[in-house]
Amino acid sequence: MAVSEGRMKFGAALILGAFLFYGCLPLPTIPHGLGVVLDKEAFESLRPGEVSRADVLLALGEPRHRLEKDRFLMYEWTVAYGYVIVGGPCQALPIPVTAPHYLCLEFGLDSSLLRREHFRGSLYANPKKAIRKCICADQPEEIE
Amino acid sequence: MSVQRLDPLLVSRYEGFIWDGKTTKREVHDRLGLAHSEYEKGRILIYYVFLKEDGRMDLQGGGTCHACVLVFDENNVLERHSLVKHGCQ
Repeated sequence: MAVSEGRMKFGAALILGAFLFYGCLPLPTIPHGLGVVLDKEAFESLRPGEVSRADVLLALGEPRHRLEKDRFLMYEWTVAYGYVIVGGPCQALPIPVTAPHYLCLEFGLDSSLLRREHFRGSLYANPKKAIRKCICADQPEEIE
Repeated sequence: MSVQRLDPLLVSRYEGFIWDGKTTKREVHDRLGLAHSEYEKGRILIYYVFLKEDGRMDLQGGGTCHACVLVFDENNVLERHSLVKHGCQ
């Protein structure tokens, strides 16, 4: 049985009202970087087997993490997917809903790029998890 | 705001001593001091620099930090270099 348009509008208004009543309104947005982000085209052009550690540094600059004597370099940035508006009409405060992004790069003994992996999501809110994932690529992800 | 590789000639234009195939690591150390980071046993050096209004590099300052990446060959002569906007950590 189709739900009438009136009921749908009522439902939407009820949800919106509940968010406003509790002083919290989620607003999804187009994903956008907070602070400095890596350019997707720039890092996707760095293909394993074709470039070296020097090429990576020349293109992307200093990485956030240097791991295992530079066998792994990891870049990190933050992307916002929306905002939660908290507080009343006169004191509304937008709080970004974010997820960390990481670019993990593994190099061989000859300095050539062996592996390039981009991982993201709140699962990696703790950078230690991202570092573990970068170094131990085959290890299954733990869900807490 | 994204990490962006700038025209490396910017560096050579304003910092006249930085030229691929000519500049030695010794000259770089003498003029700029120790690098912020070293990779591959000093083959790759990264300096954090700030561009002044006249285009010259400054090792101290405010505003946007650029990573000046210098790659040397086995004879310690500059092989390649780049300037990466927002490339510092």
